[in-house]
Amino acid sequence: MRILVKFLANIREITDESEIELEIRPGDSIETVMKTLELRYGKGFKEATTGTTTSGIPNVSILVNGRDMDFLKGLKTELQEGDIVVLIPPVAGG
Amino acid sequence: MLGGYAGKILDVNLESGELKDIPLDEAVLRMYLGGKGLGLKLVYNEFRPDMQPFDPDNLLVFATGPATGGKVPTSGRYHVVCSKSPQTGTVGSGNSGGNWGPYLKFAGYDAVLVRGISKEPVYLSIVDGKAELVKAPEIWGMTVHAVTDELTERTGDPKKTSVACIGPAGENLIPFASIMNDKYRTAGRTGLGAVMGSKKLKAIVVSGNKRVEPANPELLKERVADSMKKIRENPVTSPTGGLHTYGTSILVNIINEHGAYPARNFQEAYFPDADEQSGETLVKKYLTGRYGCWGCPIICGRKSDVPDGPFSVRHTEGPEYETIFAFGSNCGIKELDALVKANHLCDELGLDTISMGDTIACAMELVEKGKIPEEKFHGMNLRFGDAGSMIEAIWRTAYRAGFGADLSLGSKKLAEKYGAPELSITVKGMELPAYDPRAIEGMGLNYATANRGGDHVYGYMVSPEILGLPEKLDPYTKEGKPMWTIILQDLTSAINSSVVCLFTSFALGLPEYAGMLAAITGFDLDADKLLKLGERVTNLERLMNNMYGLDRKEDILPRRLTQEPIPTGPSKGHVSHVPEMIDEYYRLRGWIDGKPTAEKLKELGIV
Ligand code: SF4
Repeated sequence: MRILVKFLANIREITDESEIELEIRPGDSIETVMKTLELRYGKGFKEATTGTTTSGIPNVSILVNGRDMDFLKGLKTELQEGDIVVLIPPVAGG
Repeated sequence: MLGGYAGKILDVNLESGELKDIPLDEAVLRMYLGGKGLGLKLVYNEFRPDMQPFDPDNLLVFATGPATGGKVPTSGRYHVVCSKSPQTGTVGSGNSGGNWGPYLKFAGYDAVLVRGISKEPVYLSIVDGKAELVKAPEIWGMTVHAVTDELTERTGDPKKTSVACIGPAGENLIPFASIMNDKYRTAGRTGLGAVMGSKKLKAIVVSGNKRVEPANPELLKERVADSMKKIRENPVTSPTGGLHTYGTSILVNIINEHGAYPARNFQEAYFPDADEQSGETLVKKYLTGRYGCWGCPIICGRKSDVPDGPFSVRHTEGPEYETIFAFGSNCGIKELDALVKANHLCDELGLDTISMGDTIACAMELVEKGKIPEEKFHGMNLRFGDAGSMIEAIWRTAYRAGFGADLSLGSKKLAEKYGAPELSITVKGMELPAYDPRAIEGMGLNYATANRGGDHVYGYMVSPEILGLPEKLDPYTKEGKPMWTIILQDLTSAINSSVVCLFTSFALGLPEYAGMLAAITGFDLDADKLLKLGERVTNLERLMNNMYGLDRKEDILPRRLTQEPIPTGPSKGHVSHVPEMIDEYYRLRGWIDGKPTAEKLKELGIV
């Protein structure tokens, strides 16, 4: 099964690519994918995508097909063939 | 004298040429603070329900607040209101940054109230406390940058001088003409530039360096230190944070990935080429530097340069997220260089980029649906995706040239003229910003109820519903949204009366604002009292709109957004449910059918 992972803002600067296709297995969740990505992109990526900032805001928001994982099953959300996962650091505009 | 205020308003009668100093009324300040609140109160004092937008007594008020020019973060802002907007028929309202607000105060005034119509083109000069009207037919017709350079040079020291002006669009009474200051900063919405143009007032030049002291400098220092810490630690507002690094256009990809980035006149809410016009791409391809308004530690503005190609433009600024959407995805255009150019043209001509872009998008859909006969265009090929014709449409609108005369009507009247009113994506006649409310329920409610029409910065529900600030709300649900919308709308009214930048609200809340404002003014303010003040401002504006005849029937979204499900992308199938939320909104507000009750107005001390 293949999924598409997109990186936005400063996470993209770490990965140095805006999106990648990833091969996953049935039952794999966002958590599994994040582990795979940590192995691929290293410590900087892990720091940028886990925990919270000093002001208590989560370092990353994760969308699956446009839906924030917090409104799905969080990191345990299982992924399907063709899913689009987007990693968004805390940014804003207006 | 109260802390934070210069102490007087300049009353300018363009008919008689008389200039009068009016002392600030402390009782009014305690209720309305300054900025938007003060401006609305001045308009209300002389309110006439049968007012027309270009009547001489349509008042135009430029108002700073106690924070403007003070030693607080983002104190470079001011607010403009007018009695009646030529675009919406509501009270007109806009907010801008740059240097103009602080320099007005340093020149000796908290606000300028303009009335009457001049016989010939003039500009108002306020230099070190001395105000005069200067006849200047030779500057009529100049573009924004040219007149700004000219008047800055005439006035002297550019380090303490700032020019707010209109471009040709304002002179030509285009109903969505903006007021520009410091060349690129904009009080963009509701056609304030057309009202200024109708008065034959080309510009207001301010120059001064007399600072205003706060009531309690020591306390202010402490409270500012606390707020600065929060701004610096916040990943959005910090000096290396998202806003500084990428600007507002960082939202392009985020909103698109949520399936809420309107495309092709809101026919769609996902634009496959969005990344080509994103904040990330802007940084990589065209960014040359960053710009900060006076006193701002965030510095979110873009300096940009397109060195070559058909859309080359040198040493410009922007574009912001809203502009990228309006001329980009909404017109089906992906080329970012064309969007930089479109933005530059609007800044030069003095046009609101959201209304301009959306109106072109509406025209493109009218063409697509075969509603406009080909011969109307005089050779212009106005089609979705055609960047060249989009650029051409902008200058044509400012000068009402050829089909530009139709575009200058704005999308509502344009769509009506060609027999398809449902294709105008507007609320109260004002074109909608860059968030499809079918995918963000609270934002829809905010659009529908915003006093000045389709307005994202009236109560920025995107913050909790998409960005998760200050907490994450599900954008697809209706529950709790009326209350959240009301709080954010009233908070924004308070911020616009202070006046500080709305972007601080990503890091600060009511306690921080109230704390700083109390130290500046000496008023007894806390979070609750400040929110109440904001509610008063919102209600006063609503009351005047009611007196113009607006009520529940205008608090609606265009049919497309409640009836036509999003056809593609992550939010496929969604429509907005504003009609199901509006009664709860009114109930919580203490309004009946869109009108504040007598008890509510009494409770707020408005009547
Ligand atoms: S955050 Fe941006 S818009 Fe706000 S005051 Fe600073 S530079 Fe101006």
